[in-house]
Amino acid sequence: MLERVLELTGTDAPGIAASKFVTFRRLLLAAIAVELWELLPYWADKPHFGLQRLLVWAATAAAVAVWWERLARPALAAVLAMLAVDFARAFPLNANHQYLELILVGLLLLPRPGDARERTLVLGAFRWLVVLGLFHAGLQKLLHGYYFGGEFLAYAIARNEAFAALFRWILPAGEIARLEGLQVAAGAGPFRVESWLFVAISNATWVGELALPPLLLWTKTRPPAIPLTILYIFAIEAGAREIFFGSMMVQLVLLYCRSDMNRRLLPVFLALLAYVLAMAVGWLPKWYFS
Amino acid sequence: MSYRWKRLAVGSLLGAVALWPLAHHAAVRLWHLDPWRFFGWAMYAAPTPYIELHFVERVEGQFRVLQLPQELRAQAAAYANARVRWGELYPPHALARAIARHRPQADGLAIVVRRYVLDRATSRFRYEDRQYSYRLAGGDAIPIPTVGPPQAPG
Repeated sequence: MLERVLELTGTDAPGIAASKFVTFRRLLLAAIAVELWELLPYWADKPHFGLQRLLVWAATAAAVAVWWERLARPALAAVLAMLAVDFARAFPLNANHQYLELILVGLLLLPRPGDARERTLVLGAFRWLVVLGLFHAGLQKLLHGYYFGGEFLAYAIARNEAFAALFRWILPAGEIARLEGLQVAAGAGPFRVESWLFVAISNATWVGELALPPLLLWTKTRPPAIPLTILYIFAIEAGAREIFFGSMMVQLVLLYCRSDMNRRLLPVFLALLAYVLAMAVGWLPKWYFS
Repeated sequence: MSYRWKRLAVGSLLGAVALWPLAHHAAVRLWHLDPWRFFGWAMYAAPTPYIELHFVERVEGQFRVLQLPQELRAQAAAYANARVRWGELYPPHALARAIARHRPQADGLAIVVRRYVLDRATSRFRYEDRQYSYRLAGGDAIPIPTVGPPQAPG
């Protein structure tokens, strides 16, 4: 029964499945290590800075070790333990992608080395996580109801410079300035914008999140749905600027492709991580994603 | 672990991921949990929560606004941070007891949690108050049911 549900997201030839599995775990552990490097400065004046530095170096060693098949499972187990410690320490302030990382690393540890059936189980679960995440993100926006008139995006412009910069392309400067001047106080507002394009973008956000999952699941619509979903994630991240969550979601979406697209794009993903790492350690100035 | 158990683990995990956001939404509505936290996929679905704390004490039958003494401000700030995340699942009883120990002359205390909400009808922020009332005696704060509308100052 579960196998049939998992197969709704597609099936892979054994060789492709093995390749997808190996590439994904390499990318995930590299991203986790770089993310810890990026967060390190925030711990500089905190009591557990020494422990945090140790975690960062251990995660870096694991990200290197995972490239050798024999060391992959110990590396994953070590990273899972680190993530669990980090997660417990930050709770309840954890970002949602920290939950996702825990789940992904935990699932990557599940298959025995070389067991094609167990690998298929995990890759199917990964693909389901994409559609569940997208669908629930859209459903939550629908249920909270702050997207119908663009209220949330107006609020985001007021509170987040990244959103203000993004919407400068379509809104008059005076309107952006008005929103940026609003505070959270009784009577503050209105968090609304008289622009049909702005309201359309707002509604396209939740409609897209609800529409893309069935398109990814249906075999006939899957080929166009994959680039559409990736394009959609790029559009979201233009405002949210969450590079780790965004790239993780793109890599999960690419698992829907017939071939191992993550492997083909491996140099691009690694270059992106190297760039973020260079920003994190101060070799390059911070730009855009910060 | 056998394949059967692994299949069960994966199925249970996916079931939990599929159902949890609905429970998360219900908890946000009922108890005002932080929608951005707890893996409900509700980041960017609603504004981040904002709250303020107000304090009213009763001394010899007279109610007056209480400005927290310096030594209690860190505890109140910590409570406010936790309250934003946990909403009404985290009442301010411990903070009330700390205030009771510092205000032996007071026999009553009200803590008002003011929560700012973006009103969808007006697109403006408004606030909702939740009042916690206590009888103070011997350095302890005993919660009592709040009668009547909340009475936040200001």
